[in-house]
Amino acid sequence: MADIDLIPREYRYWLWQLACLKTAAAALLVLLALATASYCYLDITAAATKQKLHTLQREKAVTQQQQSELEQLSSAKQELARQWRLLNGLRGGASVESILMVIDRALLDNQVWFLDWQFSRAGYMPSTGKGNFVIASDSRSNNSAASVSWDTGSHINIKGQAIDHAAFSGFVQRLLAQAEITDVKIVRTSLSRGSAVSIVEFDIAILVNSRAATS
Amino acid sequence: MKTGKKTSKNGKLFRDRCLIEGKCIGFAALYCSSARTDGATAKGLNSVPGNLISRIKNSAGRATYGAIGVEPSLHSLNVVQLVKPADGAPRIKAWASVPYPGDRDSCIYSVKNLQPVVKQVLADKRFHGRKINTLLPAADLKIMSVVYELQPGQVEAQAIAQRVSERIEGALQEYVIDYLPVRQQEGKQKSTAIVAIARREKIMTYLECLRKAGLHVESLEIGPASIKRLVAEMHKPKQGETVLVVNFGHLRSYLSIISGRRLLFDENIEFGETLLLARLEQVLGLSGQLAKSQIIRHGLGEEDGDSKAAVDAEISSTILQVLKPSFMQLSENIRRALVYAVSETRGDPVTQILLLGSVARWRGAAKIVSELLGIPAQVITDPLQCFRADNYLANDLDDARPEFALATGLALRGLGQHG
Repeated sequence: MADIDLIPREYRYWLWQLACLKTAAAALLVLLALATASYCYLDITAAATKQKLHTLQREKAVTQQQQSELEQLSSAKQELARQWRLLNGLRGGASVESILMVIDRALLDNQVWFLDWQFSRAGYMPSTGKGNFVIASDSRSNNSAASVSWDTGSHINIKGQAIDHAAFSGFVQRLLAQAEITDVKIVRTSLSRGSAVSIVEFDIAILVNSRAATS
Repeated sequence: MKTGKKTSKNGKLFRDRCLIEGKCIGFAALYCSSARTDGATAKGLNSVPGNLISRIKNSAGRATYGAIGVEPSLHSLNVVQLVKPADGAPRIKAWASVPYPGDRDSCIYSVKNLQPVVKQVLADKRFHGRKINTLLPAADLKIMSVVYELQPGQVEAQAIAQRVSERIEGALQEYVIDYLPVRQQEGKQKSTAIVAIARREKIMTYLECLRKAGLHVESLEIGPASIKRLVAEMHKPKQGETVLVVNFGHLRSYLSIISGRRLLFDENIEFGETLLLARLEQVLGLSGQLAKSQIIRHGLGEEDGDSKAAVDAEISSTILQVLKPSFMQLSENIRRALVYAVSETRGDPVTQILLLGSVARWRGAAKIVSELLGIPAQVITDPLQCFRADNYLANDLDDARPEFALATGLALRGLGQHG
């Protein structure tokens, strides 16, 4: 059986609203706390990640800089090595007289004579192939080693004439047979025909072995 | 014309503000308690989930903690809580009686003064929860029997409101009203209801003070309903048996007639312990304290077989002689109530008188009442008696505590077989 109850209905309703409000406020507070906690957590994580990224970027920059420095150093080293070789070549080497003496030993009779000559301490290998003159050289005539030597080694360019190709060939063979001569490059040969006789004109480059020549 | 105008005004008031239809929320919490069919609506928003939780708890085999019964008596806040095991009768969980720092009204209608009292009560860790059933002091509550007649197209609440509005001062919306139908005469339009009326302002102040003191008020009921519940639980009246309960207060006493589980009648009369002691002081020149100790010691007209007895009997007899006129006046009031009870129960007489409260503790009081009215009278000296746990609080409850009657009845709401 129901009993008398003097609590006004609207008061109960107000209490219910109040309870709902409190619950909502509590829920809101919890959500707010969660959001704040999440924000703080994300903020801290983001800061840590940012710092990590910054460190990695810095490390990467350092690596790139080091790489660049390494490349520059390598390039400088190569340049210095090249200059060192050049200077080595320039610094040592046989004298012109001794070289001419060596060349003179290769001359026989008067079948070959010189019109002009030029001596260089270092230089580039002269281009070859103008003419149809081939000399079978021995094993000393190694291309790669010779090409290096041509860059830094002393050599002498000779412009001259021979009575015939056999005389010219014999001259070159004799040059190559000497220890003081590293290589001989025939730059140009041509046959010049006169009214009575024909002669062979030639340009050769002789690479001198400076150590052998000075000893 | 005046009546017609009032009827019309009240009719509009009900259409606008009555709760009985569950359609709107109004100024007067006027709704039917036992005859209504829309129980869930009328019980309020908190009742349905509360019942649901209670059912779930019961089904889980747990003990159910009842709401704390809080009675603002004249000098102290009396508080009782019961617990009902899943398979047993209600047992005491906790009780307390905390005196007010000042007078009652300045305490219970002031948050500042009520808070320390409530705090003191709740400091006792035996209390469980903050839900309470309470009541307004009798001085701030008016209980009346209303005979009303339903007009065609008129609902019960409207008819009662119309009758109540004729008997109160001021506008109806200044009051909170609830009622309990007592009887509906077959074949006739006239019915009777017990109506409780209290000023809305008082109720709201009291409820807010309790709320701000940290309590959740489940119900605000009336003393007789609480007494009815207590009697039903303790006395276990037979089907159709009608009993009269006299609850003696300090200044006023309350007569309630209970038929089976129905509250038929409630009236308060000017009779109480303070008035009786004042009379003794006036006639015999004894101070109130001394007079009370003499009554407790010698009783009212009690005669022991042996004795030192002669002197005691003389004192007892003298006290009785002084107080007898007051008891005779009480018996006259009771007689009128008995006549009303007979008319309401179609001839079934009151078979038992139960006495509660301060005067009931005086030895010989039941005997006097019984002799004056010719009906057996029994004293319920300790309302907590039948709720004692077998091995709990046994030592604490050696003394009878009649002041807990109302609080126990309030605590029984929702727990007892009749609650």
